[in-house]
Amino acid sequence: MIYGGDKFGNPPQHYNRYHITVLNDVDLPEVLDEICTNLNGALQVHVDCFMSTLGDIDATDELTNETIKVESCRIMYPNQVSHINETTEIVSRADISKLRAECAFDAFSSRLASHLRDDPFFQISNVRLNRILAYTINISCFPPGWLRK
Amino acid sequence: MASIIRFIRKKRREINKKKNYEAPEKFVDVAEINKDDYALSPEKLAFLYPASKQNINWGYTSDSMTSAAKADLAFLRRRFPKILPSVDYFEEREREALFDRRFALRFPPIYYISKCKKKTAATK
Repeated sequence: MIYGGDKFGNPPQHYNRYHITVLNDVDLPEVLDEICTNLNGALQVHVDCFMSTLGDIDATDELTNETIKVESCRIMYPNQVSHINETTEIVSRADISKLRAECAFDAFSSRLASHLRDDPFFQISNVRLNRILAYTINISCFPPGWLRK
Repeated sequence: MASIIRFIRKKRREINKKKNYEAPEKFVDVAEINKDDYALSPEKLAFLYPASKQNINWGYTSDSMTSAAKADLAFLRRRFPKILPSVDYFEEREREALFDRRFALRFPPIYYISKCKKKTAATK
């Protein structure tokens, strides 16, 4: 948990926050490791992604005038709040290794797919993950005194 | 004579108004009701204002933090140069989706990518 504030009344989330977007050809755990080791302060990391999804929509067949299901592709952007990784606060080396394990491709995509599957909004239209387009890494750097576990 | 009477009546009215105004204040004297809360015990102070325990090192925020943030930015800019994906990056059906108007934001996704392209051109 991170708490504290500026003497001017700013909440800590306004402090030194970086939004990094990388294409899907990178090795995500490696990139995260590199960032976490090089940035200063206590880090809070949120990893999410832009993705393309497949869903079934209604359409009319021109020859028979029947309603049929057609597969449609859409592009989805990350939610402002949501994050795929479970360990968000990085204090020690062990936290980084946890984050690496969570952001390995298989674990990451399966968790992302489960996010989509469990969302009641997308259950209606049967939306499913096609592929990941770009990863977004949101990092906020705090003074270490602000972090309590 | 009439003017003097008028003057006296006016004065009386003012005095009466003041009396009516001051009367209810005695009933709702907030300071008197909460008299105990203005003198907090040290235990209660520590509970209500945990900052007095000095958990937070304020000194770290000002100078050292800004220099650290500068170093971070320099590292991030060097490590992640701006790269815009070409059209080949997207699959065929994704390219159609780029122009899809039924998007949760105001404009289709291609609008935001093109906007980013213009920005990079201007900075160069």
